[in-house]
Amino acid sequence: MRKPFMWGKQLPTTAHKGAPLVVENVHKRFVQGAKIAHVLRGVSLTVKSGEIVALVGESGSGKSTLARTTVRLYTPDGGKLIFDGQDVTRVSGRQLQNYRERVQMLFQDPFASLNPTHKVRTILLRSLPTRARSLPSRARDALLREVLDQVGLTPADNFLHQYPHELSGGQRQRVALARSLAGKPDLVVADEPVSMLDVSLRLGVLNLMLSLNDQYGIGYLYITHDLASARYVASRIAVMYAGEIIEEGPADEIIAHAMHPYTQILVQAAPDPQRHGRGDVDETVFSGEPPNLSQEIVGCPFQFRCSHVMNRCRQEPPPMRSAEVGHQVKCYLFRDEVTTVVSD
Amino acid sequence: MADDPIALTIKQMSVSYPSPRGWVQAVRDVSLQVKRGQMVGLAGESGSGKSTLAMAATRVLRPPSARIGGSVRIIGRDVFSLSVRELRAARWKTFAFVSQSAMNALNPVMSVRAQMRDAIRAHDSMYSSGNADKRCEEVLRIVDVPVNKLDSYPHQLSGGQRQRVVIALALILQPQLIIMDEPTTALDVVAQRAIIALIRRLQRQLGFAVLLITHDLTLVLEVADEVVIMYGGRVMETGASNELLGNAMHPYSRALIQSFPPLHGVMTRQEGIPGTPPDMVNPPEGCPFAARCILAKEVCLREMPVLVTHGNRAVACHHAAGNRTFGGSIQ
Repeated sequence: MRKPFMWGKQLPTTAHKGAPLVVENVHKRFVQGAKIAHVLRGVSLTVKSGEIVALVGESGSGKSTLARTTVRLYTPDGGKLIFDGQDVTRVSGRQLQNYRERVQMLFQDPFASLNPTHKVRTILLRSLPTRARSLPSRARDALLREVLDQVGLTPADNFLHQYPHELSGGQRQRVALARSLAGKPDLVVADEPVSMLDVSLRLGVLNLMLSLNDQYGIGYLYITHDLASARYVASRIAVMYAGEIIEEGPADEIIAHAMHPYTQILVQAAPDPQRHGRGDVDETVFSGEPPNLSQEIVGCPFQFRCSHVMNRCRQEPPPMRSAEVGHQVKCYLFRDEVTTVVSD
Repeated sequence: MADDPIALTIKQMSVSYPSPRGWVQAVRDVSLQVKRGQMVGLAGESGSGKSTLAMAATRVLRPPSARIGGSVRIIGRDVFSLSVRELRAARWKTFAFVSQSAMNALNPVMSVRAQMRDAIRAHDSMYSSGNADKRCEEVLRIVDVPVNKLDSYPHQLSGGQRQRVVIALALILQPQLIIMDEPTTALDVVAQRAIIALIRRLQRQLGFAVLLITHDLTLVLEVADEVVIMYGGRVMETGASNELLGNAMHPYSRALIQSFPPLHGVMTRQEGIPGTPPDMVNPPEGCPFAARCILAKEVCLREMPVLVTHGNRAVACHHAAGNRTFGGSIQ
């Protein structure tokens, strides 16, 4: 059962109910001199209320661009962002502010994302919703202390008066997490939140995110290139390649029964000590580069690296199809399964 | 000498850096061995001293930038007693060092060919210009980079290709030992896997030994023959990687293995390691891990446990020494 937030009774409105985020056919292009890089090429993704979805893919696949677009650091060039039933694709001013209070971003690098000239108190205060800024300062400080308690930075009073450089990497990322939580968000978009942390500290931050999800129903869009951690935190995994989501499904399913040839490579490439001594893998499987996104891609974006490539793949891009319940894939190899599912 | 079965022996190495707060004791009394043709993984978190060890052992790091003690033998030669000229001749031909983010350290205004020829010219005067060119093409082919990239500049190559060029560069004078510091950290998983598979294949074909330094314990547990786990400047445990995974003896090794969620199988809530690594300016007197260890007793805080050999493995822990059954007692 979801509990009401432990912090922020001081905030005048506390209408947290969790809300779904729907990303619909979103496009994003960047102009680089004469070239135009088409980085998001029609991405659709839903994060239900209180759900944790992991977005995995290699560098350059557009994961971070999608993260920044969902929190409206970038404005989509096409498609729609719908949050809590409202179209937020192009909202501005007060409405954008409202949206950002409810959908927060957690950045990858806690050494770069905290202003080094401010104390933790100022950093957190600035993140408070506008409605909290009018609170008396004592009530605001009480709120900050409650949030710091939640992320395990105790005693909170010590941390409020420290500068980022006085904190370790793990502590900084907790401050960054506290900053995203202070306004009681519905959803946190976390862009590789633990990849800069020491191995021994990563699980601490991931577990914290999990317990906040468990207790308060905060949803996450967790972006990572580490499949094992994606499975650890998320109930669903979406796999991104060349600006598209090419497969999506329950986390265990994606890893145990990957369908798309690219997902299969991704699973094989992930380090797995259990595989030790089972002979060396065929390295040619892993060679090849993602396509150049500033050129038009005709057909499936993975055709250039795919060992199953067919004529059809070079002509038109495969549509997203449901292969099994909740498991979707964009690949012509799986049309037979589709017909059986449809006839059911 | 040339048929010494050991490629690299580091004995009782200690390295300290001066800092405004005092000497940073980055590496303390570390010994390890790499046999010919083997891949040994040196795993540890940042600040554990693994990169410092590699730089000091190859004399890249030297006084007065650091205070260095101990001895290093590479293919039977005492590295610290080599003259500057001998060292220059040994580098690249006997051992090569691929430093951290080397792929981003390629000279941006020199073509791949020019950088390779540079290495050849500096370390082996016997090559004629024609032979050097031939050798450049050969090594590029070995690492699966199209030969027409020889005249490319680093910015024209992808990350994976740059890393392959760096490996080709290390191979160019056929060394018997290559020390690689985080060779795949800047790459994504797929490119990382391709590079590691490439290194393993080349090892089989050419027979060189590799000391692979990484923070990714799961990776070395899967691909390396042996693993050395460092923490707080010291070796905590060493052993064959297949044995370490299921049967690590040191509480730190176990906790570190537990810090990686499994890719397959039942998923349970795992705990990381609470606390932070020790301050190496004032390292603890006893075991460096004692402050974060769930098994720590008074003796752990007082006395550094010695690295005790158990068959073909070794562990530095008061609890593990003389107590083989200890292995099953925590969880």
